Amino acid sequence: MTIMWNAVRERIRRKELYIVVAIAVLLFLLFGSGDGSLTINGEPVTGYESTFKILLVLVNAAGCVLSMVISLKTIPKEYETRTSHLIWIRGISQSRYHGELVLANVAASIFADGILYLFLIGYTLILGTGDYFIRMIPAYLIFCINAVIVSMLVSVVSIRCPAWVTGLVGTMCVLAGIFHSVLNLYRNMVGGISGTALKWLLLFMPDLAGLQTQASNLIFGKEISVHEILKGILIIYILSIGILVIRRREA
Amino acid sequence: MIEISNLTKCYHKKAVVKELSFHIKENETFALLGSNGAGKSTTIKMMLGLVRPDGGSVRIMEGKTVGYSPETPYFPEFLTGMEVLAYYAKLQKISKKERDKILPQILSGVGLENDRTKVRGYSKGMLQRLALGQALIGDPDILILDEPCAGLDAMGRIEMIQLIRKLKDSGKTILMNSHILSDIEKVCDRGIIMKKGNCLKEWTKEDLADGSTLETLFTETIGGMV
Repeated sequence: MTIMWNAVRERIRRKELYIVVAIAVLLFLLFGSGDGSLTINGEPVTGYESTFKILLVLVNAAGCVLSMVISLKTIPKEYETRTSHLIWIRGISQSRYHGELVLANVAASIFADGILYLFLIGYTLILGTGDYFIRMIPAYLIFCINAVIVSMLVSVVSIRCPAWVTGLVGTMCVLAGIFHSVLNLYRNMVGGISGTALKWLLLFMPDLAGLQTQASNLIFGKEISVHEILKGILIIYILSIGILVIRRREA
Repeated sequence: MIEISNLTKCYHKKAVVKELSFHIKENETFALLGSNGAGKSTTIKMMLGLVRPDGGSVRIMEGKTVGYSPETPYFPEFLTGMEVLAYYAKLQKISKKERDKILPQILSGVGLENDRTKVRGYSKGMLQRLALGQALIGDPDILILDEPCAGLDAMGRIEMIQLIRKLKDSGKTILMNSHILSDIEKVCDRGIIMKKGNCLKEWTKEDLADGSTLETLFTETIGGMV
């Protein structure tokens, strides 16, 4: 795990993590006092539960975008700076090298996501109830699956693809994942080529909104869909295989 | 010690190294010379397994270990020189006890202080010396140095050449690649002159015994102005 810890230390020093802290502090200052208000389509969103659910969507979106940004350049940078040369010549396999770098990305993404989630915990401590607070901790295990998926997908794509392709795939994954249910609804409304294209896109894009909903359901004591969680874990498993299979021809 | 036979590499159907063959003897300091684009770095990368050759072979005597110092070394800026060495030593599975013993020796051997200075505060010369230091971890039999004097000022170059000479005297087999012919002349026993991926001439120290310089030999071979 030497490569991973070194890469984590490098990630923690990057400015993206300071942006995360700034977003979390800003959200806390806006909503932690209870004075902040949300309005959707002119209708005010009131009450802890309604506001929390909206904030969870925002934190999920911010967490996924940050996971993408954190993971985008880690592996390409290793090859650009030729750090990879000093690793390859030491006989370290590509699967171990890339695997540890992906783990570093995942750890940094969970950490960044966790900082944002801390804002929600703070918000619950002030305006929610003790029950909600206790359930928020296991709910994070479901919630952070999204950050793990985005981080792993972007990392795996970045092993072979140029940065713009990785960025494009990452953006598509985040957008289609967050708006999965909306796009699914739209797919049912449209037919023809658009409908088919959307169907295939949604088939391959993880349902990030679905996992966030399960985390929310757990917090509010509602029934959770194990199927959604297992789907998320299956995606992580498939991406893990990708790390082992996808290789660079040259360092 | 090292046998290169008909090594070939093409990029976009253009050969950058063409059927290159040479050998390096034990305890020898060998130089790859050539202008930019001659194929020196590609040859080194193929020897290290970083680039796959399209033809030919690289054979290194069984059991011999290789250390490599890159042309443009990059190390995490938040680490100290000692932490960089410790990182690579850990990757080589060198025990902590052994690391504590050998790393200070390597660091002082390449003329760096074991202090709290981070890599971000290192000069180009210090980075090159650190790169050489990481190449020495595990006491390799063969050292491959890609442009070890690149970007160094006069003093930095002198110090680097002294270091290489010290390593040569300690019995290491060294392959180096440099543009600076006077530096090569000071430490190398033998070498080849390359142009556009071909080996134009193989030279030895004896070729320079009559007072002619490597610079003259190089320009005569490459076909430039003297």
